Amino acid sequence: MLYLLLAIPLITAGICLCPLKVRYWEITNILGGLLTGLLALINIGSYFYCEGYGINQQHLVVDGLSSLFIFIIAVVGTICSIYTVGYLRRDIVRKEFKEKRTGKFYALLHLFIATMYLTVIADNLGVMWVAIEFTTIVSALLVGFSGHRDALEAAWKYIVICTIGIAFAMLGIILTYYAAQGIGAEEQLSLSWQFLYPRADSLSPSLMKLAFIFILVGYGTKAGLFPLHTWLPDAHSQAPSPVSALLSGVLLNCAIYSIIRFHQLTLVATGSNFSSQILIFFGLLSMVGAFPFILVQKDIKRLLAYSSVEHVGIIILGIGLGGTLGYTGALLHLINHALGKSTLFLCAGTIVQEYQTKLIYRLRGIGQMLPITATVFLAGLLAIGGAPPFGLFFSEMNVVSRGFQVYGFGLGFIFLMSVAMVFTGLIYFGGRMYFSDLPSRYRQQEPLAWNHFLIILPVFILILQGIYMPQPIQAVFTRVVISIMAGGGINV
Amino acid sequence: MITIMGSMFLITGLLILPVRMIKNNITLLALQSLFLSLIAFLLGSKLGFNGQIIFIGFLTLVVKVFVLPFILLRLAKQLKADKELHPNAGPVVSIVAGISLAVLTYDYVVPVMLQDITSGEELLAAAISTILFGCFYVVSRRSVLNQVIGVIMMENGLFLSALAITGGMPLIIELGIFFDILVGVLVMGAMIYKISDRFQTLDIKKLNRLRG
Repeated sequence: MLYLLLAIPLITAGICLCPLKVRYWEITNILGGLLTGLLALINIGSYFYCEGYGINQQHLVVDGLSSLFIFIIAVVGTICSIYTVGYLRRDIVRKEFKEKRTGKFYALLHLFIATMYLTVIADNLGVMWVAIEFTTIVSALLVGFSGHRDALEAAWKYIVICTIGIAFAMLGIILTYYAAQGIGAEEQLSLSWQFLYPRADSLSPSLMKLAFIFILVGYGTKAGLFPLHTWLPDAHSQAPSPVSALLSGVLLNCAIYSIIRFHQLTLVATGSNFSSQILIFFGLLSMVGAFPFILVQKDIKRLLAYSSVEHVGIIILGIGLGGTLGYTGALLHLINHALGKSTLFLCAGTIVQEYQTKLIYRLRGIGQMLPITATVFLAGLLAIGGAPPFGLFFSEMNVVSRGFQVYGFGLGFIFLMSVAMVFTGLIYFGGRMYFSDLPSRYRQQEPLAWNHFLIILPVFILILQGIYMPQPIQAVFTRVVISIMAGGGINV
Repeated sequence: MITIMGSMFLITGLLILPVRMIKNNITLLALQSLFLSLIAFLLGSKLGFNGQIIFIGFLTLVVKVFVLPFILLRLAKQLKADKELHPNAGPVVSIVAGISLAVLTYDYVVPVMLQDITSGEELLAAAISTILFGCFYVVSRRSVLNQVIGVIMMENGLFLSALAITGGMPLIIELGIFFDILVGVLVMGAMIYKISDRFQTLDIKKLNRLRG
């Protein structure tokens, strides 16, 4: 089943590369996206409800943590791949996109999704690295797909910065491998997560500390942690919007997933909260570092990109704080942010297409021009800002209560202040775009279309989750958090 | 013998830093990769004819000594990029920086920071210096073509450090990395084409429209 999860996107990509009619490409893309998503959900379901599923496999595994990430890729990936159809059609009508290149775009999109699945289900930490490097290569092609000057510039910076960054992560993996050899691991097994994690307490602590630093620099670049985030706003703002949604909603999470894995190893190996403290520091730094850029932003998609930097900070902070509250908050926040931010990017894409500009001060009267999309966009902004009743409010609450619990007033204060600042920034820009008057040169039009359900669905899930969390889902989260802490989650 | 090869690896890396002619840079890079593959062969035969390491050395020989330099040379020829015109750091600064990076690695990084590593320290020092050289090279040059050369140099350093301290990563990962770098350089090459087409230059300073 897990192999199918990689095979179907690859086959879809293969078919899309064949010279077909555009309509067949679109059908293949939609079918492939739906099938992959469905298969992913089946896989998660069988993990949680059939005993012993996905464990003790050779190369690909599912466990509690990775199933959450598979869920995110499934939901966001499917939504984005279907939304792309409408998006590209509008671009073709505007002559910004050549019809015959759509096949290639869909192919790259599905390749991108496949590499992300590989990242989260690979058992071997080295294979995980290779998969992440491939996500960079494929998504850089998608970022620069239009071939415009700005897009090329963004794609180039992205591929160079991330390739260099991730080279440091490889150094960390080499050190981990060396540490694993120190406990007498055989070659095939020594980077296998299933083999390594139960034996992590005998890994050399000082080597693992060093390895963790390299890993954090490498994957932190990819996740967009603050001083290393420079590629992120460029790539997110220049990519076609469905790709931005995937980058922000899923790709950042894949990097965070790798950081969590190594954090777990380091926690057990060192028996101290060394790695937690580094994560807490960088988490806070990302939050504080991002908000000035949000407050003075002129470009709608860069605004969303910097907000992603802030949310990655919150997630990393939650992981670093640990404990039931910290982990629950961080994992919930991962899912909530992925849903909220991808919706926002998809909405922003439609808005930008209609207005032909990304500059916030020129996007006036979006509420009148695109009533449905703009309303979803505003709801998404409220959600991402952390307003109740959306789920993000509660996940941020979890993280910050853990912060107050562990580090007292100082950390909580910084957290709440930066969240509040970001909220004011987002709402100010959102309000200006939504409640202003429409310049008369634009026609008013927006009939309800099937595309709208794709952006309404995630917002709906966010509201639902904020109001009422069903028992089975709570049980799943408890199980995942317990499985993370079981290996020796240190209470700070 | 391995130590000599290790120092040759380091010296070719150091020599790339001040050289301005892109063609010579690529040749030096190929030479460095050649030393890397020789080190792999020597290590492989030292460890009782270890087939895996020798295979890795062979792959290095094919991919990094012939294929990648060939691609880069063709690219440089087609784009008429024969010389780095305005590097951020002149030759003297480059060579001084390179030597200080090497001294830092040999005197501090390997003996102090990496003191837990007890095998292959000398090769490791050469490897880590090369990674730093690659980093420095990427920042000190302005041509996008040179940035690719820097990235490949870093990968060379990574490979040597894997060889030095662990005797090579598991085969599947090594293959993955090779495939990765091959595809990566091809993609970067394609992007360089487009960049020179759109911008009429390979100068990274001209790619400055996105900020804030």
